[in-house]
Amino acid sequence: MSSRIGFWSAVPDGAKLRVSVTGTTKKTLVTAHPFVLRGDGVEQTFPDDQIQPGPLEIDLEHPNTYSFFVDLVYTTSGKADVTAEVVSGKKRIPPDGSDDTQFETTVAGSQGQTLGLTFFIVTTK
Amino acid sequence: MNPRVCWALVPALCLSSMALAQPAIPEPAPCTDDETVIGCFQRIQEQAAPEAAENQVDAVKAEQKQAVKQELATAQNGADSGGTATAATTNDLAQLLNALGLLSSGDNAEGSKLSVDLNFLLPVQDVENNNAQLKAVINTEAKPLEQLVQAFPEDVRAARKDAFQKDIATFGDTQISFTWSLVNSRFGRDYSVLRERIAPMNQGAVTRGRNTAAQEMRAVSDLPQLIQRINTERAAATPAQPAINAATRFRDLPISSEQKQELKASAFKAAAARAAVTRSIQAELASSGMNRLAELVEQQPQLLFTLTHEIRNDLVGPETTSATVSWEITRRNFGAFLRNEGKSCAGADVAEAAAAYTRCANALQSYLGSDDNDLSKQWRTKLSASYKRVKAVTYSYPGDNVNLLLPKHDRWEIALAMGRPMSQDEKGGRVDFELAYDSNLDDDTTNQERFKATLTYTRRVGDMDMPFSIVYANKDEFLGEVDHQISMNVGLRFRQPAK
Repeated sequence: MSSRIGFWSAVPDGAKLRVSVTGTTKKTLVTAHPFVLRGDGVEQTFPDDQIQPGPLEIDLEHPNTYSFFVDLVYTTSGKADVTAEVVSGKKRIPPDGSDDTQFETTVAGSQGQTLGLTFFIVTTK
Repeated sequence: MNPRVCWALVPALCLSSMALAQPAIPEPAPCTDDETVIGCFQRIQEQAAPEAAENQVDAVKAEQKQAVKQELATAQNGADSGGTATAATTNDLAQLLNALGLLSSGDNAEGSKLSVDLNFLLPVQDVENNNAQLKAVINTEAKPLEQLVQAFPEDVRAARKDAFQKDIATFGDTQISFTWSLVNSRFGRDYSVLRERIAPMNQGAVTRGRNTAAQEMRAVSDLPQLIQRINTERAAATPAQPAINAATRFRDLPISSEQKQELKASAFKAAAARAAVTRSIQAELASSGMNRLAELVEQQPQLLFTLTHEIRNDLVGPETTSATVSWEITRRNFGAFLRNEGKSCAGADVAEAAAAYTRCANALQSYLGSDDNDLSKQWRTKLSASYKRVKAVTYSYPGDNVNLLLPKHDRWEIALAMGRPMSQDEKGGRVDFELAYDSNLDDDTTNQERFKATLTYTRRVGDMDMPFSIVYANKDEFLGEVDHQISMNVGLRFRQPAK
């Protein structure tokens, strides 16, 4: 059972979220479809080739909050490795509940399935 | 109700109608005091859309790998001779090769043939992708050439045959073959190549699914906003207080009971809304047929090139070199779809989930057909052409008055085969037809042409495939092993071929 949620509840203004996905090989295809919804209502969709292999980088600005969706579509059965990190200057900010500076998960799906990951970011001054 | 029609009309109504069409998912339980924001959210996601078991995914990968090996193996022309003298040595060899992991699993069960995987000699990427295969097939039961044995006077024939048998080396009948499969957007089933075509189609389905669940999308973002508000209020009251942590149990959060209740409700609502978004995307993938794209990719044409060299002891027969091209095609496949009915799926605007996506989804549904097994039941046609060069060899045994000359000659072998399952049931049987032309015969200097047509019906009985074939050949000696000969040129074959 792999984690499908990452939460950063105290991210300084000006930090960056970086997300990468790898799941496609010669014989397996998992496409990744990122979408970010900012607290002020601004939303943006990114294509698969920006996050796979990535990293896709999002600027994080206070006082906004960010809900970042990655919907994985398993054209074939397979596994997708997803990594996410929040970087402020040279410092990596670990997700809530983790000592690791990076969120890492491997999500297995069956042919035709979709599975969603969600990253929440709450910013501070 | 068609989800795409109602998307434009009443999003909330659509979601409920799609939910009705899907397997019932139990209502998730609210977040509890012993859970965290992360834990509650994760639980509800898993309940709404469970992950595939890793062993199932691994099993599918193993099947795919084996299928590629089988395809490459069947594209090769094998040597066909027998003997027993070297069997003991090669049995030892088989154990050694197996221990080294070099024994090819695709076709080592072929009785007298030992297949050795030589892919370690190829560039790593080709080996990993299985687009290329280099292997050696060692005949463990090589026998002296029958034509040579028959050339001896009858009184010494058996003795000479035994002597020759002992002279055949362990690798006296070995075949080296290299097979390469063309992989591009038109041929082969390489997803790293096809990804750029499929990703925009998937993006269209995901965007359409998200649009259908637009209210839920917005509801998800209420959760971080609530946490930010609580953090701001706490900071205003006491500036030094740290932000609340989403991995802390609700009961342990340093906030008021009212705030805890509000946060629990918000976490539950966000998780349920996120799960609804996933379900909406899943419904769109199903209704558009995008969840069946792999079935179309499985039907992609294959173009295989094989080079084979048979290294033989002269006593076994002349050395031969052959080059083979085989082309396998079905009428309906992913490339054909994009070039014809599915042109609207090939444009970049399909990702925007607007008119182009609607046309694409409609075309895909129509192309796939209503029957889930339509594609696998279609006719599969294979055309292969092989050019073979057979070296000259001279046998001279003046003591027995034997002087046999087998001249160098070239041959063409062309085969057209078609086949399809009769029904979607595995036991429903399948029908295959093959027309083969050979411009010459092995080791035959008279350069006779051979035509052979075979119609086979195969039915699965228990765990065995039982074939029934009608064979036609232009000369009766070319009929091969038949169980009943009807006329000079026609025979019936109905027994399980010996393994």
